[in-house]
Amino acid sequence: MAVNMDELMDLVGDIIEVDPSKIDLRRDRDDVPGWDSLAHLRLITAFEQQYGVRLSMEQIVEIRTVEQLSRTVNGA
Amino acid sequence: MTTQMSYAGMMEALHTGSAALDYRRTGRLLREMEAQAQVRIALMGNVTLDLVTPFLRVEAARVGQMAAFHVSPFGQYMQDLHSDAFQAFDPSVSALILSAEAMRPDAFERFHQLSVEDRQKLRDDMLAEIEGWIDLALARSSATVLIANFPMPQSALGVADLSSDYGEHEFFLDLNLALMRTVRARPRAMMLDLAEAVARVGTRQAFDRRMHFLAGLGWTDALMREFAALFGHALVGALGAARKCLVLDLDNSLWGGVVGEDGPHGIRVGRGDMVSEAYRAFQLRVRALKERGVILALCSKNNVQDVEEVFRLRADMPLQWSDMAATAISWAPKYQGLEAIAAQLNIGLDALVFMDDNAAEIAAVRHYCPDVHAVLLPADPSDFVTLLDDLPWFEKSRLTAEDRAKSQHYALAAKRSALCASCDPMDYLRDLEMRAVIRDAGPADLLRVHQLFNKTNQFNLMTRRPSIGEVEAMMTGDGWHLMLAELRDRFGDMGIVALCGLRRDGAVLRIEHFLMSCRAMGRGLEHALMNHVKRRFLKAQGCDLLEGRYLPTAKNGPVRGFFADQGFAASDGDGGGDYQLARSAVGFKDCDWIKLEA
Repeated sequence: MAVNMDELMDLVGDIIEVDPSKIDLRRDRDDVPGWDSLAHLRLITAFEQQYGVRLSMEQIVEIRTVEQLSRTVNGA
Repeated sequence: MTTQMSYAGMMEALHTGSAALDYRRTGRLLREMEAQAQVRIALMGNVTLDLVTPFLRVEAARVGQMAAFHVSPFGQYMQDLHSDAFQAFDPSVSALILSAEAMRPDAFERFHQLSVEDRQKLRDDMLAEIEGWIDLALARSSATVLIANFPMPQSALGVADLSSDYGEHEFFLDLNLALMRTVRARPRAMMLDLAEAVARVGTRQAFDRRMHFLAGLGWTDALMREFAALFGHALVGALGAARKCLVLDLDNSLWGGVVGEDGPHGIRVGRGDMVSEAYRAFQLRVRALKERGVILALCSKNNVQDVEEVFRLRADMPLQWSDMAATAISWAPKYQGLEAIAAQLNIGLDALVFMDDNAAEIAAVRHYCPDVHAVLLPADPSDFVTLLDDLPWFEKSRLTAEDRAKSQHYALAAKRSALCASCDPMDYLRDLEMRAVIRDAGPADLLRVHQLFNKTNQFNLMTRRPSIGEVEAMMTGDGWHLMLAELRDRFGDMGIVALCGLRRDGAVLRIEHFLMSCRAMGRGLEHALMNHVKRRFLKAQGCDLLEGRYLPTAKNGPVRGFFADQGFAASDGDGGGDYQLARSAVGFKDCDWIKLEA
């Protein structure tokens, strides 16, 4: 299953509360306002539910960008 | 989708209890509304509670409460009670949610090496700490405090733990039992049944170990949802926000089939086939609500003779005609029936919950009587009991003697009305043979008094809603007098039905609260109570001036003229305003049909 990037941007935008069109795929989450550690966990939980995957603790910590997040599904 | 549309959709989903409710979006919409908070919730513990607040916000809204939150810094549940931030927040509810392992990490790491005595000491030690928190929290604010219990962990000893002397299972069962008893001993404290929330979700679905290690809270969304739902139930109890009356449809709601077609013996309810058993189980559950002080009523489109015949011939049904405090059985629209029931019981439409199997009827009631909480029964009667259990609207923090006798009170009221219709009003009052006790409120009255403050709408001059803590302060505070009136008549005991809160400031005595249950209206008890106040304070105790105030609300129109009627002079216009009565002008209202007892 491939990740539809528009759909993923909508999900990320919904959780970190920004306009999805303004999200930079490669921007480190430390530099994205609203993407704090609690939002990160909420994002991972919602992402796992939506795409039916389960990430390891290390993956969760290491994901720093939307692009990396999408690859956890595409790369599988 | 516009914000407007999603807001309407959200309110609809909240109201109908839709499973499709999107917690994330709903929580955000509620937060963005920035409406005035109706309830202030302080959360404390040693887990990451920030993750839970969005869920609590949604469930608070579901029970009609916009919530504001104060989350204490991680682990600082004791210190924060002393903080300025906590004091300034002034919570209406404070909740303590603890992880046992985080509370005593050393002990739980080597739990199985501890002696039985040390494990019992550990239990006592944890209990003492929680008890200390409860008492400090009670002293530091007037909030109701909610204490989460402990879910049962998976034991490291496997099945052998169950046969071990004071093993982990026994430890946690014992701890939760002792905690429940500790909490029960304090009127302003309530349990939050986290262990039950975990059980409902199922242990395997309730915890996510990754989140425990990553975030300091191993709860899944499913557990947070279930916990928040139970929190919503507790909130209704803590705030005294329960609805008073459950109104039920009959055909395919209380029994299977249609009485007009199937006849009293053809409808399905009772012992025998599975469908009849399911309706019987639902009737039993409805009947049990009476023990909680919920009154029952019927609203059905039927010939009234047909319905009366069912109740006459089917004595095997758990619910009987005499269980019903009011009935509206006719071919008129249901919303008119509900209005008639509310009028008959002298309560507001917002005190009603209505259950019906017909979607069109439910939609019409939601449209014409939006204050009624209308519930659509599902297709399968075996689902009815769970649906009823999941309604938060009948939750009480604990039950008072008045609750247990409530439906009896309303049934007596119906008998009194029958008497009333047959004679002149004065004869009626004398014929009731009323006896009243007027006395100072004491600690044993706390819960009932708090309930009365929070439920009385019509005969309520100021409509102030003090918390339990504030009521306690009135009972013991300097300069305060909190008086109550108990009333009984030849039909039965009505219990505590009226309150008067007075605050003395030198020679001036200010009436801060004056209210009476709608059940006691039209009896003249207010005269007896006011005469008592005048006699005791203006005559005997040397106050010079009695001051009162009428603050109009949407519901207290019936007492607009109360102070003028009692001989007070208005100090301004005739709307809301201040009233005064000087000692020299004091007079008494006749109410000799009520005999005062000591």
